[in-house]
Amino acid sequence: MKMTYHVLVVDDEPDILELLSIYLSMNDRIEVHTAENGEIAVEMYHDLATNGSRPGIILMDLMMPVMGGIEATRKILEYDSDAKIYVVTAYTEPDLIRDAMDAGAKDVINKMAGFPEISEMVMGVLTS
Amino acid sequence: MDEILIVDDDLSVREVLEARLIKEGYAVDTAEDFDHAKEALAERNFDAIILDVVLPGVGGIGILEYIKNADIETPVIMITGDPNVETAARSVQHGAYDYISKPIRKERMLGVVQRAVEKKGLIDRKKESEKKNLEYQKELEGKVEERTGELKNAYELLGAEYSRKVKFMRKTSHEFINPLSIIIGHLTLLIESDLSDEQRRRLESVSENVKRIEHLVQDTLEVTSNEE
Repeated sequence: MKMTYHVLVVDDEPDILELLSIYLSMNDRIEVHTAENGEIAVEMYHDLATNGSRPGIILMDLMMPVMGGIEATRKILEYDSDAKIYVVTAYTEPDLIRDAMDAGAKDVINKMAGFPEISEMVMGVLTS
Repeated sequence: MDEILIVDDDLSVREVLEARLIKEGYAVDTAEDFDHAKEALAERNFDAIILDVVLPGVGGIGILEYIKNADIETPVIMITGDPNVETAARSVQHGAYDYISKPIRKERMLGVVQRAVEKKGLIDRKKESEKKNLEYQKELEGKVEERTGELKNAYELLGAEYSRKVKFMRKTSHEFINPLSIIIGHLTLLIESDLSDEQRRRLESVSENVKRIEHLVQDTLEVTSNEE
């Protein structure tokens, strides 16, 4: 049996969560978990990791209520320094990209890329 | 009234010259030596000075040097003793305007004094116009400075306004991306679902037009990226 990949998607827009889930789930080896803000994401990462479903990639939005993407990235990396966090954002300003990379994100993905392309990229990271 | 200073140690020469000049309508002041001459020069701006070459103390040439060093621009007419070309030449070398030789002839003396006074008038007018020019120049410089300051302020205000608008445009463009990507995501899923030809045609048209908006947003972001 092929192994299942766990993907954690963090965004405060329900539509983005839904659409990313749909596109990612088109690959039956991917199981998607969603969180509406950074705080929930940190908790969820703990739970998944302790249950043996450690996410192979986290797609992290930047601007969210309660806890933003930069802080959540730092917190998850404090817990698991191997976590693969990719920031997905509409704000491609140099300062924000620098902040995200400084926090430990692997890369920054432009939301404009489109959901099929983002799904493809996720698969590439999971299988590498 | 033009004012003449006569410097001579010989009282009779002073009196004769003074009387003749007053008769011609000049105001006259006299000095018998260097000290009195200095006092008179400090008090008034004379239009001509008649100065004897032969004087006790520093002598006429010494007083002439003093006048030149003090930047007094009044023309100095030297009285030389006997027709002595050497003394006259030396006086002119030291900056005398002209000379009259003893015995003093009235017409020659009055002619030289008149020319000296005219020369002084020219010098005064030139100085006055230079002063006015300088004042005008300063006034202009002040105005230019003032206007430059005004322009600079206006430019800074415009720059701030421009930068504020660019920032707003950029922020708005960014805000378009989330809804656009959601619309496109849903549309793509819908078009791939089971639809009638009519429904698919309509949705494809919606999708095309949303993509046009997406391109506009991308262009706006590109144009505004280096403007902040």
